[in-house]
Amino acid sequence: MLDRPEQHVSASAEALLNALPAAIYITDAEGRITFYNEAAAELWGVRPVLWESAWCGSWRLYWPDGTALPPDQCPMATALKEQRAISGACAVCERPDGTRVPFLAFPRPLYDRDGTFIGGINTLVDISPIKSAEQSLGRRAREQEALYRFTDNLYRASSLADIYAAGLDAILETLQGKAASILRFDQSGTMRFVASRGLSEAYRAAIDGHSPWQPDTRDPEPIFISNVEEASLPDEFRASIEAEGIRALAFIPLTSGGRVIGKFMTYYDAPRAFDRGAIDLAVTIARQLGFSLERAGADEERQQARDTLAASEKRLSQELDLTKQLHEISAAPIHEGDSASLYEKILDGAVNVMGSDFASMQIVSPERGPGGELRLIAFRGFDEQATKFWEWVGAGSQSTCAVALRTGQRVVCEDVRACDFMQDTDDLAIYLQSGVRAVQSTPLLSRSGQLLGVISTHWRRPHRPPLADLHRLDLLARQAADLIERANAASALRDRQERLRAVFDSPTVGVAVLTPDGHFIETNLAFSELSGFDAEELLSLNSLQLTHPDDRPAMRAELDGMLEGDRPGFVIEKRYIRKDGSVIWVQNSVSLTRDEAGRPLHLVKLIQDITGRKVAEKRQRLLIDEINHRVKNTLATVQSFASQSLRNASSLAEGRTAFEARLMALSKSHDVLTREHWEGADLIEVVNGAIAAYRGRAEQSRFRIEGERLRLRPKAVLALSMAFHELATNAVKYGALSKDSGKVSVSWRVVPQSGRFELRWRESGGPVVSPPARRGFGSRLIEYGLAQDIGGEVRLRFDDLGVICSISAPLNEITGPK
Amino acid sequence: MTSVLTGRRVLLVEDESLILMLVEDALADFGCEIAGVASRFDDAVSKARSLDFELAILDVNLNGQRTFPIAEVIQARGIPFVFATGYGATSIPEALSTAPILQKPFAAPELERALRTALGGDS
Repeated sequence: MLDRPEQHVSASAEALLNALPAAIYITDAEGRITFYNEAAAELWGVRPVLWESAWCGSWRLYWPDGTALPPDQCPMATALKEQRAISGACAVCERPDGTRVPFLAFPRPLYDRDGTFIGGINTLVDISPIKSAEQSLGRRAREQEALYRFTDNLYRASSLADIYAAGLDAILETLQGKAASILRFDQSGTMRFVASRGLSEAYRAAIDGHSPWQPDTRDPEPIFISNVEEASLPDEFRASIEAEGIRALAFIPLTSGGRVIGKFMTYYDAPRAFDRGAIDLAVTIARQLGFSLERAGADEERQQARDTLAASEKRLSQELDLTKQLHEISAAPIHEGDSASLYEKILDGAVNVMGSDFASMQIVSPERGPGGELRLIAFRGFDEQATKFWEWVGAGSQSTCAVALRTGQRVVCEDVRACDFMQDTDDLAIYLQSGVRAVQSTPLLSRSGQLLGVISTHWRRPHRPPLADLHRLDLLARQAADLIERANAASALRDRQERLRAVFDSPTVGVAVLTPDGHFIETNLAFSELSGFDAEELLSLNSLQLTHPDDRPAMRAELDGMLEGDRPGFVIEKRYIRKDGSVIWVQNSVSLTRDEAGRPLHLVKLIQDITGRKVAEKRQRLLIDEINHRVKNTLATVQSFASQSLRNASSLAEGRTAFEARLMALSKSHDVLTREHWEGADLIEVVNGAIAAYRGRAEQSRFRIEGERLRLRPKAVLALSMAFHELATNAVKYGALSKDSGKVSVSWRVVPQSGRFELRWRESGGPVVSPPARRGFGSRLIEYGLAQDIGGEVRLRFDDLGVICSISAPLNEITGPK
Repeated sequence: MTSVLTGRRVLLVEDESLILMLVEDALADFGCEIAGVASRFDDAVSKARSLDFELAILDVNLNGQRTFPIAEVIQARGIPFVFATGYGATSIPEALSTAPILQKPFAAPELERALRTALGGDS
C-alpha cells in the first residue's frame, strides 16, 4: 500500500469502513479498485488486487437472469463512465467456490473538494436472504398448484391407473425426486409395485414384496432416509439401492381407515434434508392418495359386485339355454336322417358354451384300419378346403382331434403357433390358413368308455377356455356321445332289418313266418310262386295242409321235437301239394324263435323247390337200373350162347369156335347200335354187317340184296343180326357159299295189304342140301329164337336149290311202335 | 331120378329168346315140362290167367314193362313163381316179395334152388 500513488482512504476511515456490515469498495476514476472492506471480500469470496482489479471485485458477474455480465458494464462501471449515482442495480456475483450471491449495487461517483472527478464508491447489499424467501414463496406456490392439479386429476380419475398417474405426477413435482413409485398390498398381504417412474425393472423386481409395515399396522409413520450412506439398511437392499443410484429416499404410508394399504416412495440421487414442509407435503399427498384409493376401491367393489351379478345372470341364462338345448337333444327321437340335425344342434351348443369362432364334430370309423379314423360329420366356420382336409383324420395326424383320438383325453391348445406337437405339420398350416389360433378337442365317450368321436371348438385368437366352459362342454359331449350311440344302434338295426328284408325278398327261396302250430303269418313272393297260393290265401292255411299226406307224419315228428326243445331247428325234404294239385319236392329249413320267457314264438321257414333235383335223382336211378338190366341180360345172353354152343358141338374146339363167332356177331351188332345210340339201325346195315366177313372184294357179286329202306328197332337189330350170322355161317359150311358158283339173295318188303314185313334169304348155285339129321342151335336160334323176338314166323327150308329162310312179322315188331 | 320138380308144368315169361332157350334147356334137365312161353305182355297175362301150369318164371322187365300185374294174377291163382331180374331186389313191390328172386345171369343150380323154394320145399 505504501507504493500506491494515491491514498483515497485514510487509516481511520478504513477502520470505520471495515466495521460496517455492508460491502463497500472504492475505485479511482479509471475504475481500478483502491479499497474494499472485509464485508466486500466476504461477499465476493475473493480478495481483488488493489490498483489492478477494475470495476468490481467479483470473480464472475451475472445479470439476475443468469446471463454473464462483463465487468466494464457492471453498475459501478456505468456509474463511473457516466459520472452518475445508481441506486439498487441488481446483479449476481459468483464466488470461486461456485456459490452465487445476488446483490444490489449502489455505486456513485466521488469528487474532490475542487469538484474534480476522482473515482467512485460502491455499496453492495447481499440480498440472498430476500432471494431465498422469494424462492421459498415460489416453491410454495408451485406446490400448491401441483396439489390443486393433483386433486383435480384425482377427481377426474376414472381408473386406478389414472389415480396412480396423478399421484406420481404430484410426488415428482412437489417432492422433486428423480423417481417415484406407488406400492400396495395385494390379496395375500404382500406389498407390490402398482406404478412407478424412473425405476429400473431390476430394482423393482429386487424390492417388490418388501415393506416396513404389515397390512394391519396402525397409524404408521413415514420414514425418511436423508443419506443412504449413513442409514442402517439391510445389505441386500443397500446393494439394490446403490446400484440404482439412489442416495436418499422416503417411505410414505398410504392408509385407509387407519390401516396401511400401501405406500409411495420418492427417490433422490443426492443426499437430501427433508424439512418440515417436505414432510407435510408428503403426508398430504399420501392422505389424498389414500382417500382416492379407498373411494376407488369402494367403486371397484360396487362395480365388481355389479359385474359379478351381470356375469352370474348371463351364466344363468346360458345354463338355461344349454339345459334347454340338452333337453331338446336328448328328448328328440332318432328317425332316419334326424341325427344329422341333432349333431348340428350340439355344435350350436358348443359354439355358445365355448364362445368359439369355429366348431367341428367327428365320429370314429373303426373299419378304417387300426386305431380308427375320424370322419367329419358337422362343422361351423370352416371353408371347403379345410373341411376337405379334415374330412378324414387318421390317428397319426398331428391335429388336436387326432391326439384326442389316440389318447381318449381332452386336448387344449391355447395357441397353435406355440403347440409343440403341431410344429411344421400340414395340420398347423391348415389351422392358420383357416384363421384358427386356439383349439380344444374333447373326446366323446360312450358310457362304457368307448371312444365314439371328438367335438372340437376353435378360436381366431389365442384362448384359454375357462374351466367352467369346459365343464359345460362336457355335458354337451355326454349328450353327443349318447346320440352317436343311439344313432349307431339305430343304424345297425336298420342294416340288420335290410339284410333280413333282402333274404325275405329273395326271388328263389320261399320264406314263411308261422305260428308255432303252423299257421302262416307272413310269406314272401317266392313262396307264393312255389306253392301256387297268394299271400292272402296262405294266411288261412296251415302248413301241414300243404304237405303231402305221406310226408305229414315225418314233418309232425320233427316239429314236435323242436317245440319240445330238443333242437333249435331242422331241415327236411318233403313234398308239397300245390294249389293246382301238382306235387313238388321242397327242402324245408325250419327254425324256432322263442320269447323272453322261452315260449315258442314263431316258426321261420326257408323253402326251396328241389323238384328238379329230385327228378334228376330219379332219372339217374332209373338209368342205373336200366344199365344194370341190360348188362345182366346181355350176360345172360352170352351165357346162353356159351351153353348152346358147347351143348351142340361135336368137340370142345368146335364149340369154342362157334361160341366165339357168335360172341363176335353179338358184339358187332352192339357196335352198330352203340353208333346209333341204341335207337335202332337200318336193315341194310344189319345185313351188310352180318355178311361182311364172307364178302370179299372178289365175291361181291355173290350177294344180291334188295329191299326198301327200313329202320329197325334195337331188339330186331340184335335178333336179325344173330339170325343172319347163323345163316351165313351155315351157307359157308354147307350151303351156297361153300361152292364158288353159289349165290345168296336177301330181299325184303313190306306187304301193303297186311302191313307185314317179309324177308327172304335164298341161296342158289350151291350143293344140294337136305335138312340136317339133328336140328342144331343155329336152326333153333333162327326158327324159334328169332320168331320169339320179332313176334312172327320164321321158316327154314332145305331143298334141292338151296337154303331158303322166310321171315314174316308185324311191321311194328320190326320197326318199333310208330 | 325124380324130384319135386319132375313133371312140373312151367310157364316161362321172358322176352329174350336166347335166355328163354337157356332156361328151357335147364328146365328140361330138371325134368320139368314147358307149359307155355310168353315174350309179350298181353300174351303173358292171358297165359297166366288160363294156362294150366304149376310154376312160373317171370322176367321182371318184359320189353320195358314191369310184369308185376302178371305176378299178381299168378299169385291170385295160388301158383308159385320165381322172379328173374337184372335189377336189384329192392324194386319188387312188398306184396310180391315172398317170391324168390333170381339175379341174372344165373346158373342152373341157382334156378333149381329158386324153383324148389317157390314150391315150398327146401331140398
